[in-house]
Amino acid sequence: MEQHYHREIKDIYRKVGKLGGLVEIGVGKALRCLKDGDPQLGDEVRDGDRNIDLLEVDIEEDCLKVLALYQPVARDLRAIVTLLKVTTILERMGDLAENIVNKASLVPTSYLSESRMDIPRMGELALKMVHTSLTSLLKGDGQLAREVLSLEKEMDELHKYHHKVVAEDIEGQNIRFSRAELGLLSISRYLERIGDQSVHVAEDVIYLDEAKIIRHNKEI
Amino acid sequence: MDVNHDLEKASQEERPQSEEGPAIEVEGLNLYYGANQALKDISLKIPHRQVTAFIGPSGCGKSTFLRCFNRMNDLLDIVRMDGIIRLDGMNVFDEACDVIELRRRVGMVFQKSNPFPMSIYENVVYGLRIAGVRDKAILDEAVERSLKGAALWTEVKERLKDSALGLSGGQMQRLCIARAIAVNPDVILMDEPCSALDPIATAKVEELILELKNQYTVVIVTHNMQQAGRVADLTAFMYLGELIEYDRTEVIFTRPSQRHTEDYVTGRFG
Repeated sequence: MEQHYHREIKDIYRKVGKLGGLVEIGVGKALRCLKDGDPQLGDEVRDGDRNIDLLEVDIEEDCLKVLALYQPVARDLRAIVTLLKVTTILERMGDLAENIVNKASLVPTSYLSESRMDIPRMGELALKMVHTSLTSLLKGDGQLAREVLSLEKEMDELHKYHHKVVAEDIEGQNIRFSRAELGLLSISRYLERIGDQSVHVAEDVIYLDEAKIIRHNKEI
Repeated sequence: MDVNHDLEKASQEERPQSEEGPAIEVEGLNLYYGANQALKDISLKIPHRQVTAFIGPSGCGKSTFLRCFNRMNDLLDIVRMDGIIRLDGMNVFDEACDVIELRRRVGMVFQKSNPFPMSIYENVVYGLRIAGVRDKAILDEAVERSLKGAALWTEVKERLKDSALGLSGGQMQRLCIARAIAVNPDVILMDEPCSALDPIATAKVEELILELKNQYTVVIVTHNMQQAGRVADLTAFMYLGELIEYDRTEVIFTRPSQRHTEDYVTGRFG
């Protein structure tokens, strides 16, 4: 027997799905902006972020309404708490996509392939982590969410390697592309953060599905 | 899940030596109304000085189960029972068990408050008078102690000789609680004690329940799941005469292990 507030929770899921879609598109456009040097894409990411901010507030109000009016428990409570937290995380991801396009202007398109940094691979990983974490959320699938956790290590190692690349260039006084190099290092950091935020979404999905808080103990 | 182990561990930390073991222990309890089986092979342990709530849809057997603890079902001819209920280790179904004494030790508060048509004072001392207490000083002391225990003293101390029927619904229910605790019971059973009360009176009774558990073991039947969440340390979910799940209340309301429990507490039942 479905009650009125179950329909309200479904509506919130729909809005979070839409928010996730905007974030995924934003990250994708930010990476294309970097690759193609198209400033139009940068503007679209910034416009998209404004929509993300508005939708975040709208979803938060819906979640607070369900908490205040219906006092959900068990899976419904876990769903509302998860949606509330994930919404904040997605908004941060939108900000990170905007950060990427802001730094993209420092990086000539040709430099992306010349640099020893593997930003395209990080971009692929980030998109996969965002997409998988969102799919796991909408399906309420903790098993799928665990796949996101397994991608985190490669992302972290790439970012550490990029630090090493910059350190070596500074030590070798290879300053020809220093602005582009520093721009890429910042982008590497933003992509690594997008990966981290996807992991946080995945951890919340595991809580939703399995009622386990694994944030500080991934062995659970 | 070994909830009984958790209960024993938790209660051993706080209670005096004389309260070792559960307050109430039920083993393989079956109850029949004629040919209909209302309770099916129920076993559970209720710890001392905690609030235990029974929840479940209408007709699931929770009130019937509650009434077993002080043998209120004995009053119905068609009821047949087997199994064991131990109150501090004593089987309440033993022939040696004195039912009058059992009902003194296991007091009861009902859904609809039922003060007797007499003064507030006489309502409180009713059980003591039946037990033969005549000493006015003892009765006076019991009235003050019980009304204070039921958080009613300040509201009625100037009108103890007034009829109890002039009290508000919430005050009447607290008077019934005072009457129950006047005879110094070990356990207080409450069958939907707030279902006829407004939110303010309900809040007062709920506060009272939390106070009472410092001295008494409280078992409450409630249809209000938020109420179970607010007052109960442990919650048992019953369905069609079976005990489906029994665990700490926060577990029942955040991560129940049984699908039936999840469906019931989230309102997806039926």
